[in-house]
Amino acid sequence: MQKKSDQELISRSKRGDKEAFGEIVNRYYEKVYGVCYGVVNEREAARDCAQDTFLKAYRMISKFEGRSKITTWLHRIGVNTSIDYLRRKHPQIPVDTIGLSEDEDAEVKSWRLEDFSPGPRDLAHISELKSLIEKALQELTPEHRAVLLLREWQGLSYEEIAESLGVEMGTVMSRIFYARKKLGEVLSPSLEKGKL
Amino acid sequence: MKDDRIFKELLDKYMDGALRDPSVQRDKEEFIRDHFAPVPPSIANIASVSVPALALIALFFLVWQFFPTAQPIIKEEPAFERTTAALEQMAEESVVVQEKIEEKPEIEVDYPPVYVKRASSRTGNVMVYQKTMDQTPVTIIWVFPGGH
Repeated sequence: MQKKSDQELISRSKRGDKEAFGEIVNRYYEKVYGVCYGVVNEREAARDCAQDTFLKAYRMISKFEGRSKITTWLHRIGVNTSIDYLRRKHPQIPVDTIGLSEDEDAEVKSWRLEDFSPGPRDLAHISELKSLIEKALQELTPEHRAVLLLREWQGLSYEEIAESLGVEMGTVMSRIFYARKKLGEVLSPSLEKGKL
Repeated sequence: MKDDRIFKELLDKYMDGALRDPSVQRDKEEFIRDHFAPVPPSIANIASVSVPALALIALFFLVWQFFPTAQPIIKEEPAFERTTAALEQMAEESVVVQEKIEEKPEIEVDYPPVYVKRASSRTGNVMVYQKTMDQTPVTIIWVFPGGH
């Protein structure tokens, strides 16, 4: 059977064809879940955010004009949904303090990921690599994690990331620079010791 | 730059590990099934299609049940009257055959009462004679095994 194009599936979804949108979910669930997981770093929260992303996308599909790729649009909703989730979880946090002051003030610290608390199933997956990466990601704000994932894991260009997140390209570049720097600070000691 | 490449590789491995968890696929399939699966036909939809179909089938069986009794009144009766002479001639021929049957040893059998609603034969050793329904609602059937 011939694979239907995204455009065709989007057109059918706009006419209320749930099954067509289900095919979009089938194609891009992992990507959206990955971005959400990278931002919230909890399996269940990532699942909820990813699924919420698709439900929002389906409700808003009529507003999708098709000027960007569907994945760009889904990433944007996914990142915003994940950040909203973290904000709800930490309501005391101001909306945007990611001015990227590199000072580690208390507010920024409270944005960071909670310590990883593995359940029985997760225990099997724990490794030094995972804990190190998690430690490195904990050093970043959700916005930085989102930018880092879209750039390094999804391989998006700066322009695509800017479009996905609705920010200026300069902001994207500065966030990526900061995120890499922070990762380097956390991971470099292990790299120098030859642990990785 | 070298560190950047290593970070990317580490991040890729980390994310791949997260996505390999079987729960991700399970959650995905469940989510699609719950929200975006094709809508199964509802009972109302089934009824809207099947009720007329069932009514037609029921009507067909109703007609089929009554057709044999109605048929002589509506269509067959004139035909019997027209062919009476031919039928009587055939009945006379049948007597010879009946005598041959009497030569066989008698077997006492308690036959149950038989009610014949309909009989027909296009070819073979059966003859049907029926009086017109308004005179005597009786149908007589002769069966001649081995006869002509």
